[in-house]
Amino acid sequence: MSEQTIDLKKRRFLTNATSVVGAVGVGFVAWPFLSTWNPSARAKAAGAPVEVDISKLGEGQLVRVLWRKQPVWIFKRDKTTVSNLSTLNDILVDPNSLETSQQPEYAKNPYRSINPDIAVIIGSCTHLGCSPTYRPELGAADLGGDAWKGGFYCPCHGSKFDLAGRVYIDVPAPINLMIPPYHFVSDTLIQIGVSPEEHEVTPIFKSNKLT
Amino acid sequence: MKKLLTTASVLVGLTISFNLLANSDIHLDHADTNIRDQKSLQNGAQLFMNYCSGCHSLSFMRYNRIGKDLFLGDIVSAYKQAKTNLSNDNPLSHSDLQALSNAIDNPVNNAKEAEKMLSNLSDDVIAENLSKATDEMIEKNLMFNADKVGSPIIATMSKKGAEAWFGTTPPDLSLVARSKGTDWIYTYLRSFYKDDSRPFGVNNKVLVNASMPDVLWHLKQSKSTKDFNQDVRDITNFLDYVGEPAKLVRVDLGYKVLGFLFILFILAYLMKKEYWKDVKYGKWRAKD
Amino acid sequence: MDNNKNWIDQRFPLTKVWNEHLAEYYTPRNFNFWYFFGSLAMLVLVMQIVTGIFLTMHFKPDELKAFASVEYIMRDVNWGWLIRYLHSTGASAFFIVIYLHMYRGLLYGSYKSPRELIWILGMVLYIALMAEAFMGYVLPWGQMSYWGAKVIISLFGSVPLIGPDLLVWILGDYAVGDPALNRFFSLHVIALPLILVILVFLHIVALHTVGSNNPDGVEIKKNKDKNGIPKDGIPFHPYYSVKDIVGVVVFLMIFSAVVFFAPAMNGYFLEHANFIEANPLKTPEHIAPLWYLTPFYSVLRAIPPMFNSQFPGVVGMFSALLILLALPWLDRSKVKSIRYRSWPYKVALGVFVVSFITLGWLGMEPVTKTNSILARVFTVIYFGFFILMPWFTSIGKTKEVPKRVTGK
Repeated sequence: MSEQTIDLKKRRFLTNATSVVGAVGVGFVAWPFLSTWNPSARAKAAGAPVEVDISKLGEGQLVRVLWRKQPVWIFKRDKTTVSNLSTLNDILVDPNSLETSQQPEYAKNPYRSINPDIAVIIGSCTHLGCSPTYRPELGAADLGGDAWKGGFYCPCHGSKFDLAGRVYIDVPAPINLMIPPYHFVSDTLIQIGVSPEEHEVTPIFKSNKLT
Repeated sequence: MKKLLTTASVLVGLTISFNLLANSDIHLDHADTNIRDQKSLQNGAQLFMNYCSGCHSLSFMRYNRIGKDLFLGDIVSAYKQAKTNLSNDNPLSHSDLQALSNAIDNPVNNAKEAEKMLSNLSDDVIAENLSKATDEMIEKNLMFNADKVGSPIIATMSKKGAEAWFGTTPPDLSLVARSKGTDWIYTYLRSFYKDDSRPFGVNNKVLVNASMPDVLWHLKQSKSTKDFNQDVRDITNFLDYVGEPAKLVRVDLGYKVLGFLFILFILAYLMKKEYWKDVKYGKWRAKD
Repeated sequence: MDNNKNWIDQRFPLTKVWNEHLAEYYTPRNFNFWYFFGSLAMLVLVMQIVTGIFLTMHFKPDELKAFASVEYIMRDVNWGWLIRYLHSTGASAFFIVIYLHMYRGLLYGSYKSPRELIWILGMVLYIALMAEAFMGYVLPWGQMSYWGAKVIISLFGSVPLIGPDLLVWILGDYAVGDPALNRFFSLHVIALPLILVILVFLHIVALHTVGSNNPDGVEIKKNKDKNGIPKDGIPFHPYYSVKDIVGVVVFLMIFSAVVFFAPAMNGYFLEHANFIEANPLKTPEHIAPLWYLTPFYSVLRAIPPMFNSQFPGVVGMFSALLILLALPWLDRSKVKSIRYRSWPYKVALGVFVVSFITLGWLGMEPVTKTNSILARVFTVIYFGFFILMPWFTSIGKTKEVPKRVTGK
């Protein structure tokens, strides 16, 4: 065999091409591995909407349910509480829910709820995720005396929220508590995880036959 | 010493059990199922839910997975067809309107309304609604128990009831196609014969003294042998799918992976050849 | 760039290691097909570790949950089926690659002086790999996992005097159950992989100390040029790295074909009965270990119980493994490569390969009279290969070994 010239340009091209295609391959392989960390079918099934019967909920009473492994509070506000909500604007960060999107569109009001008297709030502090305690009593001495109109107090780092889940000024938590999507199936039944828009559709399959 | 004997007897027992293999020499008919046959899988799913799910669970299979794998495709293509008809100014049929209604989660009464609604919706919303439509289809047609669409398929019969009725719990069939094979299922379901000595008046050639009644008896009576065989084949096909739902995507993905590797192979081979020129004629040529 | 390299080199021998083991590690120029399997074994090891890490995230080592958690991986976890198949196919692929790698050693005398330690480290690796595979096989908690574990572990019960106590100690219970599953899980995901990685490291350190053998069995270090570079050597990087990439891609094509088109390999890689959850009340009709352990299982079954004990069979099985360690000293031949060996060795090696494969096949088959006789004959041949080796490697005429490597 005679001496052949070695084409370094061709060599560099082939090295780059192989490297690029190989890197693409590694990317393709990485995808399924990273995907395994997303919620599995089981986690998704477990995170399905939950229904809460509120027919026996008394005024001031609070129930906790789990939705997607998070505590959700459902509680009934009496008339005084509802009217008190509008008197707190000066000591709240975002009283009208204008600055942060911590609630669905239909809860963008001073009560942060669909019905003023029924509150549905994710009970997870927006600071570092502890679940605040329910402190509905007016004028609690340890929470500011007369100024306290009832609300939630986070035992971990002292954040305070009012009874609409709105955060107080000068506490570690930066924003209001999250409102989950929910809707009223009937006057006494709430479904958490489904918004009213999603619910307000007519049943679509009229026929009972497949194919 | 006792343990030692136990050990020895386990080994001896195993050795003997090999000879019992002769049992499995029963001739099995070829099931000839095709997991790509969507219609067959759909029919199999319906038959299973009607005839088998009362006693047998598929505890590793979720209802909504069946919807996604076996029915979503049909709904999507019906929707696409309807949309094409709409854009071509073809008259929309009743089924077209229904497909569109399914897709956009709203009853559509005429073509104009449909056009307006479609233009307002993003592809994501449509896709989400199509999959919701599929879930509802499953709920209406396959779910006879008050389950959620994400739940696994659990037999309606209680374990206690089963033991009183059959003397044993009917096995879970999630993996029966993987452990027994499709030919076995296909043959077994077609091998019941009359035997008055058995509690249910039937016996089975494949699984002698099976404690299961011939649940497909009615089907067998009312159809031609060919149609009955097809029904059993569809159930078998469905159970094959249930045994490994990933099979639906696995093979197609395999071709793509091999195609990609082939390209990589050509490049890697050319690169190797290029570098080895150094060894053949260049600076690393064999020296004396 | 250079500054960074200097900064690191002053603190860590990066360039030195790179040169010594890759860029200036001189490898014989005449490697053939058989020399792909070392790097492929490394590839499979890495693959098994990575897929194993991800499987561990979803698996539950609990006798009530293990089986269901594997099906959870197969169905509910996004892409879980692919990762599980990569791992289960990887196990079989590992042994295919390792068997071919070992056969290469037999072909070209890679275990002979000065490479005895490489061979011994490799054999220890092989035995550790078998333990790793066996324990991994128990984890899905199917019928074969359970009964396979029961049979293999009951071997320890046949050890004279301490056997029964040893058995209970290994199981942590009176039969295979949750404690066994838990300890096997721990050993499978932590202890044995760690040992394997360390052994691979030592195997490679030993190899790079003496240098690679080659199909001619010529020591390239005996012939160096004025710069001290072997005349028949070429740097591992880039020449063998680019060549190995081609081998890797071809391997991956075959491997993917199995993963995507026949992951159960008709019951050879994933057994049918293992899709039934473990049931201590009901033994499957036919029990056999997975294919890669069957040659030794055959030896076990071939040796009849003596003095009311299965122990001789167990001793036979382990001897069949351990005798491989003595290979460097059993081989008396002056030449390494089969190319220059005398005919008796070639014949013996051929007979040995046939006996090993036949034993493997018999191990998967049910015991019949003919099979038992065959297994005994081939067990004798298997041991005969080693016992007679000092004799047949010293007779017959060997060809003259060239001074330099041949081939293109």
